[in-house]
Amino acid sequence: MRRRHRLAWIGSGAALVLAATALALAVGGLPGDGGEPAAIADRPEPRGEACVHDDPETMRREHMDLLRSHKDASVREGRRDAERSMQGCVECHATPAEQQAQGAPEMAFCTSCHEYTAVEMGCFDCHSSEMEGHDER
Amino acid sequence: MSDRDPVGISRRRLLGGAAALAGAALTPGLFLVQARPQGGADAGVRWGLLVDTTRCREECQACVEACREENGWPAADNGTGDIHWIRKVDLQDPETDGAGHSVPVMCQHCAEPPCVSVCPTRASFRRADGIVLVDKHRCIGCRYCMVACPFHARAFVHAPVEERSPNHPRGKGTVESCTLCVHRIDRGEAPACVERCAEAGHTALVFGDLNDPDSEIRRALREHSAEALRPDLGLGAGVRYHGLS
Ligand code: SF4
Ligand code: SF4
Repeated sequence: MRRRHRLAWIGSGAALVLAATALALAVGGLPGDGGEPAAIADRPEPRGEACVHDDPETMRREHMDLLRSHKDASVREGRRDAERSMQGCVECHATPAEQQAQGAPEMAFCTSCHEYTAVEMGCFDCHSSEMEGHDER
Repeated sequence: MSDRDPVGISRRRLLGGAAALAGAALTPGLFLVQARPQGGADAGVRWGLLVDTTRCREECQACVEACREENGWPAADNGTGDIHWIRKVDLQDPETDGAGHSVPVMCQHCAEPPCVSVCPTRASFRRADGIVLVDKHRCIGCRYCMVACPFHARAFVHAPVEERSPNHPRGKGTVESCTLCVHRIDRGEAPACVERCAEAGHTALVFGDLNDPDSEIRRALREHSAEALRPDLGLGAGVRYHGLS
């Protein structure tokens, strides 16, 4: 009984190490390839000088929380901020028309990472990714 | 950005055509209101709408079309379910057989909204300035609110909608209704239906702040009697109808 327990512990420890290695590879890419996984390097260049947050690390880590709190402020309280709205994201990050014509998705900037990390992104199931018009939500 | 200037002066527009009809109408004229883009919904304001049923034409669908274009809801027959934010309803007293009315019915932006009371997730809510909305990130699609609303004002999105309006995100599995064109109000413009009704030459809709004694809607309400639909329910509707009784 005790022996089976010990085996189980060793098994789960090994699984943990494997999972951690997989995560490190997914986030950081293979050692020696410059740190950026290839799929992410393909994303279209954003327009403008800087994002609403200067620090891309913060945006990578926290964009979903920032978007959620902006949604609460704008939808529930009417405190709108066009720059931080979904439309604000689209204005800088939508794929330029010429790249779209070559078959790149409209929001390739987002999808390149989301597909790579296998995190489903539902934003544009409901929000428009049109570059014209006012959404401000 | 011009649409974010603090008083919204650049967005103010006079509808000349409406002013010409001023004699007969419920004082149409300057529709536009002060934009409050940064400060948020103002608790001192109560947005309201006055429908002059004596000016609303039975055959006219201008307000419905304007709403559909502005907020991007699809026509009823395309398999996405019957999404409607505003409908033209023909009313007639069955006992007197008298002349009927044709009136637009949309969310009445109740002061005591049953849809908000029954919502289990607080997705349905009333903004500080009286606009009743659905926070679709919270809505679970239970449709309690659709049952609770006495005016059949809400609709459920049954299927994915291909064309998305930049003015209004729309997702399968959530409920929606008239937002009083909150995106326009927040940048200092009147709702799309109000503008289109004036452009069509009927000026049957007056929009404004019910709390401001000098607003166009209050002036009109002083001169003409108006009532809520189903006043017996005591919901404190923000939409009033002139000429029903
Ligand atoms: S009219 Fe219906 S949807 Fe609108 S606030 Fe009242 S109960 Fe809610
Ligand atoms: S359908 Fe959505 S908004 Fe309506 S009661 Fe249910 S959760 Fe609330």
